[in-house]
Amino acid sequence: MKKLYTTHDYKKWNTKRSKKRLKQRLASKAKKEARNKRYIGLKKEQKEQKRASETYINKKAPSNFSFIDNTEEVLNYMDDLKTHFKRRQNVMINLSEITNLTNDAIVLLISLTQNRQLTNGVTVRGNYPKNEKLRKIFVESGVFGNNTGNPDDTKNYILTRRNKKADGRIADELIRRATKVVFNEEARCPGIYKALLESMANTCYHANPKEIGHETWWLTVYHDKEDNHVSFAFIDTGVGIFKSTKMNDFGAKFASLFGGSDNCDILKEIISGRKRSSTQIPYRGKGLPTIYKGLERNYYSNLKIISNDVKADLSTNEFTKLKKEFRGTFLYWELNTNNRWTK
Amino acid sequence: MDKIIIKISDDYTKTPGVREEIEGDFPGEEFLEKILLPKFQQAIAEKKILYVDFDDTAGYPTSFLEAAFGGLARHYKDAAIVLKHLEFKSDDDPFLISDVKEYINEANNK
Repeated sequence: MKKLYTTHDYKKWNTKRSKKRLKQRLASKAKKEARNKRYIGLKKEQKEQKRASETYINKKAPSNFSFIDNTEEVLNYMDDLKTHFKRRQNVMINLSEITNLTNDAIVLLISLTQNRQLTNGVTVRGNYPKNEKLRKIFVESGVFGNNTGNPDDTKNYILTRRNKKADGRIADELIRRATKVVFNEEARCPGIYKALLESMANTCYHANPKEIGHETWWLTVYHDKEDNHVSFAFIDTGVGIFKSTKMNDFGAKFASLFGGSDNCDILKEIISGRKRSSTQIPYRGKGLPTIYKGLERNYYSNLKIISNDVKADLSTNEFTKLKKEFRGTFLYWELNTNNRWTK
Repeated sequence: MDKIIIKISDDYTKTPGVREEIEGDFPGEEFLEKILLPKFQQAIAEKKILYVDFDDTAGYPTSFLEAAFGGLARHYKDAAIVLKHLEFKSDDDPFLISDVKEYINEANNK
């Protein structure tokens, strides 16, 4: 050993390494000094705030933060966030400048930020809108994990629930709260219960065709007291209506028969009940037709579906092909004083 | 004709689930197996009508109704026998009875 330390080659290598290490140490010290200079004159809390903001990538949300009104811009924003999550970069969701907010965007954001697989272990922070009403909605939504709203308080604007299975108790609870806002008394809405359970079951069975009961659904219920209506926004981030293998087979057959492969046409077939379930069992596949029927029966109003590259407003029979694809299924409807209910 | 009565909200649940147990609690298949089918068999054996009262629950998912009543028709492979021995009550949801009859009639379609 002694012989090794005294060899010429070792001495040469050791000198080179020492120089490199010294250079690194000095550079690091200079960086630290420069960093500390930026915090001179700031209070401890301000220092911490500044330090935190510097380690997060600031992502300003679209001012019209509504998934149903501004679908593609909101989807682009979500994709941007996902890109940063993939790169393991901490993200600051900047909502300070938003001027419009609907619960569908909140449920989309929740399904993203609270999904550990998607966030890839990064930290997500956010600020609240400057607008006082929008701020209150966001605080109560618990998007950033600090829901300060009392869950038993019926004055709350927004309630959020999630699960992997079809849970009738959750649906019943949310309907009772919603009816208290709209009709001033706790009531039942069999049509909304039906739509909620069918949506949950669809997530459980079809959102991830390889694994039943694996995918999580998210539901937010927003109480708009000014307009006296309650909106339900339901989402899962599974494969979407048109992406299951068997549904793709149907798309190919549909295209060969009618000369097109537009998912808007396929959705029309599904909701009309003419298209069989992806399970290919004749008595199944009644979920989406039932939800559509609920609109015709006046169980609820303003029904919308967004899945893959299709956005459908079923109240106005308007089907739009999206340029930006949404991976998952989104359903939205409203309950107002004109809809059917029972005591 | 005498009646055997099932009131789902009392005899099974106020919050019916969907089709299968894997999808959530109180599924239609379980209702068929534990309550509807035994009572229906009893009604046939005793030459009675099975009277099903749907009221006072939160509502009924289509898959629950199809699994239970469509499943009953598939069990007997004949919708007519099933409809002959069933009577329904649904004041909460006026569309429910026609829906259930439709599921029974379509249960054996291929």
